[in-house]
Amino acid sequence: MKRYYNHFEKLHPITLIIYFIGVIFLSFMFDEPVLVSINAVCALTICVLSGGWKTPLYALPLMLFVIVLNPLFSHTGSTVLFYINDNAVTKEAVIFGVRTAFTILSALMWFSFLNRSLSSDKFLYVFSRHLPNTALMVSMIFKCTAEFSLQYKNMSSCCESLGFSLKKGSLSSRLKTGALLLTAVVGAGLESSVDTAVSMKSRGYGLSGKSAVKRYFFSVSDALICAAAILGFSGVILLWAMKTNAAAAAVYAVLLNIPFLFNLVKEIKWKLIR
Amino acid sequence: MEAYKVENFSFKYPGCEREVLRNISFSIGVGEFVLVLGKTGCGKTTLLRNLKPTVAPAGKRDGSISFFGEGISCADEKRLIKSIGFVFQNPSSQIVCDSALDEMCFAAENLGMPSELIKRRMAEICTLFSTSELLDKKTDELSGGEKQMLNLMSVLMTKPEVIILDEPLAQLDPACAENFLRAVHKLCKDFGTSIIISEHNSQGLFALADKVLVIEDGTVGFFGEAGQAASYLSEKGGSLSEYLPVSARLCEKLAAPPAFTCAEARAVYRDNKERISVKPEKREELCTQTILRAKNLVFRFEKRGRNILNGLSLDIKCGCALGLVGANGAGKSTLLSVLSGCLKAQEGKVKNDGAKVCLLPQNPDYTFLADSVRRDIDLTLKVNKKDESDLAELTERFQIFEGFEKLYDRNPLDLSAGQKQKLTLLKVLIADGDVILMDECEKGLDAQAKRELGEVIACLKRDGKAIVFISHNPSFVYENADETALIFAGEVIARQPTREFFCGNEIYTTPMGQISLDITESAFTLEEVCVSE
Repeated sequence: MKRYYNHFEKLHPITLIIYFIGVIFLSFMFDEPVLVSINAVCALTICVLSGGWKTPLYALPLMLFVIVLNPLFSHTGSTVLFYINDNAVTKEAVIFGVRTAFTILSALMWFSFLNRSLSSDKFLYVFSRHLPNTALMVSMIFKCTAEFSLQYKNMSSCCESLGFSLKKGSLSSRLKTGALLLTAVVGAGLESSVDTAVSMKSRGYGLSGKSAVKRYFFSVSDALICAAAILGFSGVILLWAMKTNAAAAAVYAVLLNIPFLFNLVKEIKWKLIR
Repeated sequence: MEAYKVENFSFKYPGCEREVLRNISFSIGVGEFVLVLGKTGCGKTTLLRNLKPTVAPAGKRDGSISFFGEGISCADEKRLIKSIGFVFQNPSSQIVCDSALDEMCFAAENLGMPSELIKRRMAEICTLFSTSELLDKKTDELSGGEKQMLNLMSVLMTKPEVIILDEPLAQLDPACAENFLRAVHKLCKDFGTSIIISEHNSQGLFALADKVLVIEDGTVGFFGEAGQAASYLSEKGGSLSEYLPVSARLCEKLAAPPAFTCAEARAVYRDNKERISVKPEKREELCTQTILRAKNLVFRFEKRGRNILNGLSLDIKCGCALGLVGANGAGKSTLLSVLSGCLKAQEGKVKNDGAKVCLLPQNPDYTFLADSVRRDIDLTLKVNKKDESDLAELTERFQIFEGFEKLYDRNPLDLSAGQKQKLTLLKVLIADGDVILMDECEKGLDAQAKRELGEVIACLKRDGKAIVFISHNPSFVYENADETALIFAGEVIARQPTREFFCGNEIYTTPMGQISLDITESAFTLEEVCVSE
C-alpha cells in the first residue's frame, strides 16, 4: 500500500490547530448517522493514504468492544432480536453501538493524522509567543525525559555487570535493585539540572522582554484554509440547527476533505513540474 | 581599554575558613587569547565564574574586577549577560531545549532581540562554521562535539566581547576538540573576541595563547607570555610541568628554547639528533590464554540500517590489556556492548566459558548507588554474596587501596576522579569480574588521575583479569595497552603488540611519535628519549 506524502503538515501550526479543533469538536457533536459515516469515511481515507493500514487496525478491537457491550448494557429499543439471561438485546442498541464505534474510529483517525502533521515543536511554537515560560518548560520536560531514560539505560547496564541484576534473582532483590537505581538516576538528574540552571541564568533566563523568533511562514494557503475552516464549520452547525440536513452534510463532506484535496492538489502540482 | 582588570581579588566560600582565591591580579586585553592552567582544586573554576556575575558563586569577595573600565558588581546585568559568553564543561547538561534550533535562539530570545535580527545572526554564524545541518536535529541526537559547538554558537548569538570557556574540551575526542579549538581561535583572531580558556590538556593551546595564567593553590603563580610560562612551568617541575605540551618538554630536555608546535619541535629534534638515543619501554610477556572469543559478529540497530559490526572477530586474553582505537562510529562502543551481553548480535557468537564480563561506563558516577562510599561497598558485597573478610582480603592484596578507608564516609560523587576510579575497581573486584571492558574512561581526567587509572589497569592485569579499553588518546593507549587493535567500518583492521602497532602507523600516533618520525628510531613517550651531553 503506497503511502502518499502528507503535504498538509507543511502548513503553519496555527492553521492546523484551528482546523483540528473544529474537526474534533464536530466529531463528537453530531449523532446523525449520515454525518457520522461521512466523518468516518473521510477520516479513514486521509489516515490510510498518509499512514498505511496499521492505525485503523489498532482501532478495530475498541470498536468491536463497544459494538458488543452497548446492547448488553442498554436495553432500550422496540425491536428485540434475542434474549440473553432475560435481558433484551435490541436492534436499536446494536445500531447505536455501531454509531458510537464509528465516532470513536473517526476520532482516533483524526488524532493519528494530527500527530503526523503537527509535531510537538510546532505545537509549542504557537504557544511560545503568548505563554513563553510554559512552552520552555514543556520543551525542557521533553529533553529531560529523553535524558532520564538514557541515563537509566546506562546505569542499569553498568550495575548489571557489578552484580545488581534486574533480570535475575528473587523478586524482592530485583525490586530493591530497581529502587536503588531509580534513586541514583534521579540524583544524577538533579545534579545535572544544577548545571542546566546555571547555563540558563548565564544566558539571560528570567530577564523581562523575551521575544520569540518567527519560524513558520503564514502563506496564502494558510489564510484560505483558516477562513474555510472557521466559516465552514460554523456554517455546518448553523445549517444543521436549521434542520437543512442535506446542505449541512454537503458542506461537512467538503470541509472534512480539505486535507485530502490539499494533498491531491499538491501532488498534481509536483507531477506537473516534472 | 582592557577587557578585564582584576586587582587583588580574593574569594571565600561561605562556611569555609580558608580563602579559595587570594590576591589575584591580572589583566586581559581586547582580542587576547588567555590560557588558564592549574591543578584540580586550585580555584580555576571559581575564578572564571567570578568573572561573570550571573554565574558567580555566593561568598565573600575582596578586591575589584572591572570589565571595560566598569566595576563588574555595579554594571548593568543585561549588558554583562550579553557581552560575556560562558561555555561550561559538560556539553549535555548545558543544553536547555530539546531542539537545536530552540537552543541556539535561547539566549537571543531572552535578551529580547527582534526576530529578524535573530534569524540573520543565526544564518551568519552557521555560514561561518558551516553547521546548518546541526539545526535540523534534536539535541539528544547530537554527538558530544556537535553539542559543544551548539553551545558555542548559542553564546555567539548575543555578539559577546569576551567568551569564557571552562574546560570545554574535556569530554570531546581529539578530532572534535581540534575542530572546536579552531573555531574559538578564529573568533579571537578574526573578530577580536577575547577568549579565556581553562584546560588540562594544553597540547594545542600553548601555540594559540597570547598569555598564560597559572593558578597555584588560589594565587597567581605566573601570568605572562606563553614562552615565559613554559620556562616557569618546567622550572617548577613536578606535576605542574605536565601541563606543558610534549614539544615544550622535549625542548627543555634538550636545553633548547621551548617549541609549541610539532613542526618546530621536529626541527629542534633534528638539530640534536646526535645527542639522542631512543630506549623503548620494556614490555611484559603477553599472556596467550584466551578467555573470551567473539567470532564473526554482525550487528546493526535497525533492520534497514547499516551494519555497525561487520563480521568482527576478536580474542580476548587474560592478564592482557587490549586497547581499541578507531574513529567515531567505527563500532567500538557497540562492540563492547555486544561482548558484555547488553546487546545481542544478529549473527556470530560470543563464546565465553563462564567468564564474568563487566562493562564500565565512561563516567564512573553511573556505578554509584549510595550516599556514602562505605554503603556503596556494602551493597556490592551483599549483592555478590560476599562479606567483610573478602573485602579485607582484597584491600590487603592490592596496594592501590592503601588508605582507602579514610574515604568511607564521603559521598562517592564528591571524590576526586582518581578516587572514583579506585572505588569502581574495588566493586569490580568484589563482583569477581574476569573481563573488564572500559569505554573511554580516561576522558576528562588530568595527568595525575590518568596515572592513577593506569595503575588500576596494571593492578587488574597482575591479578589475571582481561581488560579491553577504548581510548581516543594515543599516549594513554601507548602507555597502558599491551596490544592495540584498530577498528574501522565494523572490522578489526590491525591488531598488534602496542609498540609494533604504533611503529607501523604514520598518521595515528602520539605527539612524541610525530616528532621523532623518520628522524630517529620511533620514540612514543618523552621517557623513551635519552639525551647525552
